[in-house]
Amino acid sequence: MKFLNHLTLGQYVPANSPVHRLDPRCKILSVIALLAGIFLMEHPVAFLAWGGLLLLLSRFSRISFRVVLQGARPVVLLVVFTAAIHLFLTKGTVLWEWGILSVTREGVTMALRMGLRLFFLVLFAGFLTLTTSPMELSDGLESLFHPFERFGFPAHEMAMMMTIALRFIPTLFDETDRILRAQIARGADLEHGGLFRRMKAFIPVLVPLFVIVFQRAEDLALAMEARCYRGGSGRTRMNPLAWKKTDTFAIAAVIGIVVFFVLLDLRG
Amino acid sequence: MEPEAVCALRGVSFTYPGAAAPAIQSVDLTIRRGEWVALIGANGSGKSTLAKILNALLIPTRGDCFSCGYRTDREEHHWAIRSRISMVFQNPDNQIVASVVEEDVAFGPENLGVPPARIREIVRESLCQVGLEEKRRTPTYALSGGQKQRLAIAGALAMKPECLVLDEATVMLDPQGREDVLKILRDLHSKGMTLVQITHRLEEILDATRVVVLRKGQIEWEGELPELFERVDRFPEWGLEIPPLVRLTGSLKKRKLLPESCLPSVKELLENLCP
Repeated sequence: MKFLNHLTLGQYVPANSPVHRLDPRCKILSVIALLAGIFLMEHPVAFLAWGGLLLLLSRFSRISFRVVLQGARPVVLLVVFTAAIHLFLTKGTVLWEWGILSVTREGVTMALRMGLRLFFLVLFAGFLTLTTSPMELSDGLESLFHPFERFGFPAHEMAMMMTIALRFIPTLFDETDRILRAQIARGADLEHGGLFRRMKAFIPVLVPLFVIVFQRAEDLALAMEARCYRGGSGRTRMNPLAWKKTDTFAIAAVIGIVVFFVLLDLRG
Repeated sequence: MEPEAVCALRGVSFTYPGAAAPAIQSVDLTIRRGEWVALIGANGSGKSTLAKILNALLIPTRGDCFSCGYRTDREEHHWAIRSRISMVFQNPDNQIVASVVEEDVAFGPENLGVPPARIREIVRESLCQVGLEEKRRTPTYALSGGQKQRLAIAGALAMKPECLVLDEATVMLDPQGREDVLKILRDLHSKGMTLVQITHRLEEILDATRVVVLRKGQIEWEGELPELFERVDRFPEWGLEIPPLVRLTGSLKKRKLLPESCLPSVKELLENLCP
């Protein structure tokens, strides 16, 4: 049994689907358009339409909806916290009151809006990493940021850093899991006591984890050097990015849907 | 440098920054094309340091090292050396760069600027060589330890090297994983690949054409396998453990039940005892 489940934390799920086959630049730009659309949503009911789109995307990308939903698990607390803040701190027509706490009609709307907005942001952003391998994602970002290189922006380095960070998520989760087991086997109590006590109990987990991370980083740098890595200049790609007609169609469809949803939302 | 030499070390010493004693001291060693050289020795004997010197990952503080005809102390030669001498490290998790099997194998050729169509061909060939062609699109985190090490070997082979240096590449593997890696090495050697295998497991060097024993950063002994097993009495001094099979073979030889040429492998014992 594992203490930590890392499967859906931004991990790529390979499949032969139309979404997987899209150019990574198309997927990045589509996600930006979708996120902008979600930010513009005002009516909580409008999110039903976004939920439908999510289901459709899950079907097209051949990734089970359960896996997509699991991607939002790490932010559930943040969503609840954000919604709670808006629920209790928004002024307006009071619906319920208890001491200093009060819930207003505007607060309920705001809490629903902000909570759903955050929830959908994470789910749609998650689709990008679920359907695009880190290498493709890095190639896409590098290509999109390429024009800024003339102003000294390190596009390749940034993309490579992101690839490696995503690649090491499961490895570091396994490592954390191993350290946790080792400390629990030696009598560490990580689940009882107050917040401060529990934070203190995690120090013996964090210290070896940091040491291992630095050791791994050094070993990886050596291995990359041994495989002739010397930055972006002169590098070729096994699968060079090629923008196809389907990519143009996909991005146009996404922009069309976003505009349609926003207009629908504006009309109430 | 001899024309047949892949690597030649002349009086090579190396001291890590801040260390009091050198990790490698006055080493003279030539590795010839097509050889399978086993570098053995106790922990801290300098095996891994020597491997990194061959690949120009470390530069000797004294002496000269030539790899594939290039001086390793010239930075402009490093790229040429590393594209000809590939390395496989101990922990496969620390050398896999990409999240998908085929993308990781492609990393080396991409760095070398190989055209895309050729990279795809090389990736297919390399994965076939290590028996991972079915796992082409598998996420690297979903591989077993043995499969990850085979992937690391495929990544090294994709550079189309003249020589493969394996730095304790089997140490983290289970018996099946170790056997799989050794099978790949036997296959590569039969096709003419020069191999430098660093290990402290004597059971794994039975296919080596030459053995070099390192002790305290110096070459203590050098020769062929049968000669090594004639010096079993020196193993404790060299910091090497005598495996049970080596003990058994030695005892049977003393009782004249086995010929002197018999190597301590299950296959050879069976062939000699149950012909």
